[in-house]
Amino acid sequence: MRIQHPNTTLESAAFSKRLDALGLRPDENGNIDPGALAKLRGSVPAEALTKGVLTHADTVELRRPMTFLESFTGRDASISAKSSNAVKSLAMSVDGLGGAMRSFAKELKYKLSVDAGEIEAVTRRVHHVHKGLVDQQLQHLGTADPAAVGALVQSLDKLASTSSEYLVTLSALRSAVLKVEGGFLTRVAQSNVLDGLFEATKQVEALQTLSQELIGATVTGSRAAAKANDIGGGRLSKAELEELSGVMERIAKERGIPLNDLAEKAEQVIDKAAVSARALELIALVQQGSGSRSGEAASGYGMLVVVALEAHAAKFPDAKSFRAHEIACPA
Amino acid sequence: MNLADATHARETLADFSHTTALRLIDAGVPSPLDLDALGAALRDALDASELLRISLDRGAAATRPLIEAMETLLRAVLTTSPQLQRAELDVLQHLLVERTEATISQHDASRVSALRSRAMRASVELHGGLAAAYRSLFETEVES
Repeated sequence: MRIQHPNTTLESAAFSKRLDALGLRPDENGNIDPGALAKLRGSVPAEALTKGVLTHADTVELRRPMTFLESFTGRDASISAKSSNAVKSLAMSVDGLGGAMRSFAKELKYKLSVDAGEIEAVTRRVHHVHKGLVDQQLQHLGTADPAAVGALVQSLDKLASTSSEYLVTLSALRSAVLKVEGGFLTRVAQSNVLDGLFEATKQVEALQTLSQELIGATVTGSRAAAKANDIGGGRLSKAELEELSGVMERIAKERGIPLNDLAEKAEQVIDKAAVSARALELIALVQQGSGSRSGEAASGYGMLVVVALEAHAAKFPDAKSFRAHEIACPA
Repeated sequence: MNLADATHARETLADFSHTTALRLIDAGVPSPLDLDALGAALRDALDASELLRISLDRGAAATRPLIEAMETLLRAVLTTSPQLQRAELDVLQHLLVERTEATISQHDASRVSALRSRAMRASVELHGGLAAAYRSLFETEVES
């Protein structure tokens, strides 16, 4: 069975051209040539490792653990022949790999610390501008230095590209590790390598999240709006997001409840509602054999979230479960 | 779930992930961005991540083709994310620097912000699912 998406851009002229260019045009049954797909997969790591933020020296450094791993393939053959020398040799290689990875991790941490420093500098600037946005309201912001804001925009743009390319590179490295065949010791070494890569991934993601919050706050001009956007983005309509933002702002002010606590509660309700709504949509999708999607159309549960949040703040928790039940069992 | 069903489910999920990755790349080509197509594809990316987690939680073994498909999807999400942020920053640039209307409306900026948030969520979820998938793969291979 192949999953079809008739309402997507799969059939657009632009997409058809791209398919042709990549040699990925599906046959009459919708099947894509596995060889062409494999070629596409293979092209991503190479591209990611050579373009953009990484210098040639970085690329060499990043390739080192892969080279070690690749050398394991041949040595495993010696192990299978029970050669004690080969076992010793392999053990030394594992040590070598560990050393290379430590060096690699050190380099990676250095690069991350550089990025972190850049982000910290940007953070200070964003906070400065953000304070202006909040204090003076967006429409009255006539005093911000356009050059400073322009530089800030460019910094944030660069930061997003850099961190994304970094994560793409880490993903490409994991894929390269995946291609190494071998036995038990190779698996242990691969696991160690992957642990290091995932640890680096977590750090970059944390930086990206910070950047995201800052941009959300800057563009919307309100912490509550940024929070509402982060927790309801893509799941609530614009009107619903605005209402959620307004409610959170009001409750935070009137009752002195921390905005983060309110946002956490609202997110729980949204998640619950989203799961129910999405489950119904997916069931309908399977039953109808159709990929029809509503795109960005709001599914209407955003208002329920607002009501539930109001109810929670007013200490009427039953209302929340009532609404959740109503969502799960539509008439 | 028997072996044939499990194999079929993995192949379907891998195929779904590849298709979604291609749709993400395609939706990121037009200028201005096709927000409807991007939104739908990012939702599917989140679904693919959730399906991977569910299948691993239920004891299904990850395979190399499946992991490779998820990595491809992740790269597509990561490629899309800066594009969305760029569109968002474009509004800020026009409002505060050039004092003119942006190429996309503020309403669209709100949608772009929402999609960027979704892309971030998909990226985090996919990374988490992949970490579990790699562990599952190597544990299976070491045991066998």
